[in-house]
Amino acid sequence: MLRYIIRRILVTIPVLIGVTLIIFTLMYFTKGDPARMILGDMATEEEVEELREEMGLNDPFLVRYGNYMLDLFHGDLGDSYVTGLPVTEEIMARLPVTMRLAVYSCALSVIIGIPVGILSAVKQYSILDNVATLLALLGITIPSFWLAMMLILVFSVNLGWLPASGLYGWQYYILPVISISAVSIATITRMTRSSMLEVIRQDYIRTARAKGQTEAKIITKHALKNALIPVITVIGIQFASGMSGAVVNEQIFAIPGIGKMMVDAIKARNYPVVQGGVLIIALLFSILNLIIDLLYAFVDPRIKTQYARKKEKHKPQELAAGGEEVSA
Amino acid sequence: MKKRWISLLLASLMTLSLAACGGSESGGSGSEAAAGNTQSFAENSGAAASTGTGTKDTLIVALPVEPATLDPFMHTNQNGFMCTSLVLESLLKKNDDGELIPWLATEWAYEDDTTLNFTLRDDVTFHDGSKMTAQDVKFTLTQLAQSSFHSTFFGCIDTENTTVIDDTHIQVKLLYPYAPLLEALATLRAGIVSESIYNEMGPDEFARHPVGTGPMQFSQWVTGDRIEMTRYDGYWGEPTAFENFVARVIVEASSRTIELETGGVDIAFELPSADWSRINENPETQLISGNTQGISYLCLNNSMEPIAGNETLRKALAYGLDMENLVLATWQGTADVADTFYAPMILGHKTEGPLEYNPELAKEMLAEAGYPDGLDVTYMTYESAINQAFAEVLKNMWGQIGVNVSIQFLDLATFTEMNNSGEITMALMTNTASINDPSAALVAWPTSRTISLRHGDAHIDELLQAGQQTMDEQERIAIYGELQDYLWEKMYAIPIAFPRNAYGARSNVANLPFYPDLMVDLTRVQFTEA
Repeated sequence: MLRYIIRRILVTIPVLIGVTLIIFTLMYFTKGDPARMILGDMATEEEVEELREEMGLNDPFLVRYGNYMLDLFHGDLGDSYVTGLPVTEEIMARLPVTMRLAVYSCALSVIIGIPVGILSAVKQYSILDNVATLLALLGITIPSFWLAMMLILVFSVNLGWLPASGLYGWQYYILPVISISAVSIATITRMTRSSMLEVIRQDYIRTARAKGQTEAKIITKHALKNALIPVITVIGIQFASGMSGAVVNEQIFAIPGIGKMMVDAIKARNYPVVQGGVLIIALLFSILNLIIDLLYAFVDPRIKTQYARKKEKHKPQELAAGGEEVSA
Repeated sequence: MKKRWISLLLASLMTLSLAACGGSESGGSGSEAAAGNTQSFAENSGAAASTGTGTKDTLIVALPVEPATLDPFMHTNQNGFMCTSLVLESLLKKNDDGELIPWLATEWAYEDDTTLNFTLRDDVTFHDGSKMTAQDVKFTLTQLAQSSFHSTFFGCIDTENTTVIDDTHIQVKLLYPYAPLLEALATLRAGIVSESIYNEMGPDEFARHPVGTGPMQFSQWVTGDRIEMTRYDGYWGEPTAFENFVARVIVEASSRTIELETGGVDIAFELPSADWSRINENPETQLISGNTQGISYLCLNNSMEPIAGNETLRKALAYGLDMENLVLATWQGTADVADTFYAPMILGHKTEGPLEYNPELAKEMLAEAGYPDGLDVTYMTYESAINQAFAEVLKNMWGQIGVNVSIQFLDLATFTEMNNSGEITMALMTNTASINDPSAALVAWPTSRTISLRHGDAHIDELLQAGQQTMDEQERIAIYGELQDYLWEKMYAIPIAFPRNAYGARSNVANLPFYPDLMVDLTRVQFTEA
């Protein structure tokens, strides 16, 4: 297992290098001059040219990419063109906000989505199932920005119960978290329901019932674990999309997160921030994928066995290299 | 084995939780995580459901854009100046009647056209307790003169020959006479900075934590979220009516309106014009609106076919616009039709138009200009509600005289680069004069500066230079009158509208006048009782 984790971590390195190359190339060929954006329309062409030279924007592509990678290997993501602050500092000021929102939204989605999905499957075609299915459908189809505006209008403007924007205390999280997690709750509910429906029709569930086990035990012990694999995948995707920045929600709720930072940086052609932001998001995605893969093994012992088998497959070769026990 | 799995799961969860909670302890650099130190602000703001109108000790404003820097030498951003209006102070200020009044300088007088003497207050200290002296004034003026952001107004200062006479006297020498200098010195651009503090901190740190002589001292800047200040007890003048100041960054326009309505902020800037009447009618909010020093004009690229060298075509295009309806449809009643090339409140404004709407004449002139069968033009713009509305009406009106307009929407960065390289054929531009002087109102017109108009007309430069360097007001009015006649005759650009602007405030906010240059000075704001 440890070998598997190390291999996955090593694979991340070329992935990240590929990400830097792609994003650097895209930004290089995107129209827009950062020097002119900084100095504004009233600056003379000479002043803009001077700044362009100073920022190294006149260098050829390979020189610029080479310099960037060199700095990157020294742990330097560069400085923001707009604020002059180190990109790492800019990202670290916003990443915790985005992470916190993603974690809370994900937790809420799991807490609501999985139980509702299970109940919906177990009580198929009941009123509860119909209501849950309808709400899940609404959750998926309602645009997030519309829901956010409606939540603000009802709970902030009309009722005055909750703040409309910002993040200055626990009560400020309520509306954005609900708004961001609406789609996730709906998706997880639907996925849990369909996965559970598939599992509870399997022979081994019938066998468990025949053995006289209680329904609760059958659902929690036998069905749920097997039904969770696709649900975990969905949870991972939803968490990742929340982590890469719920851009619209951040904009509406004035949340200083990573999504808003990236959008602003792209508009201002703030290359170092865009590159740094994408790199960090790619890194987080890789870590998240690894965690999800490991969770599969935790939930489903068969997958764990597959990892173990892979390990065994390698064993004879190693022994062969040592010159002993050629056939194992 | 099972234990290992559980440990792994717990470790993963812990990593996520740590990452999620991390950052809240960081501080000191001025870029703390948004969550850090938020409780006190939340308590002060009472933002959750506060709709009360009682006296408060924290002024909270909503900014549409986060300033990139607060180094006064490195930006011309209105939101940045609005924040530093509480921290930095200028030598002179203007009263509500637009007259210059003493501020950090008690007296000033021109010795001759290129020598200006200032006497400074003796009791002014910076926020670190050090005394403000004439050396700090010299340092500030030198920085402004050398800054690419401010050299338009301060490039006239002869930094080498400007002399500090003693701690409270300075003689400013000019390279050439420059009439708008005193106006420029009375703006928020010219806040006095301490030489020793600036050099000690360095530009980067100063940009994130400016230190000045104003009534508020800088507290912290939470990147992407807010800027906080507290009252400076050693202030030489009248202290502010509020103890704390918070500028929140709320980019989404409708969110700014909602925060104003729910009491989350006391003042909100750049509100969508569609919300103006709602704010005005709400008893808990007020709309503070007025005419600006700005003009919106249809900028024509005079170095590009078919506009280049074709005066008749330019006039035909102008006659093909029904200005009244164009302005009404675009600005929805929040702008007046422009009658010349700068706003009526600025010195020397001369009514030249507006041009009458005459589609028949426009068609005749098109034929005379070499386009009897009409022509195709590309109108390029970046996305905004006003730009979109303007483009649609323009296309419709010009379509009636045989000019087929193809509209191209670009993102701002692409538009800026294409404009810079002279690839934009025509676009709606708005220029708000940052000082109340024709030279600022016409800042887009000198051939050395213009990247959009590209008219290459040296006569405009001559008149602009004459206007700037003539000290007599009546003579200046005559020069700028001649210039407006000339611009109207040549029609290198088509003046469209004088837009109004507005900001919203809670009804308990007082002493917040409308600033036509949009550089809001918050020092006088007060809260009234409910």
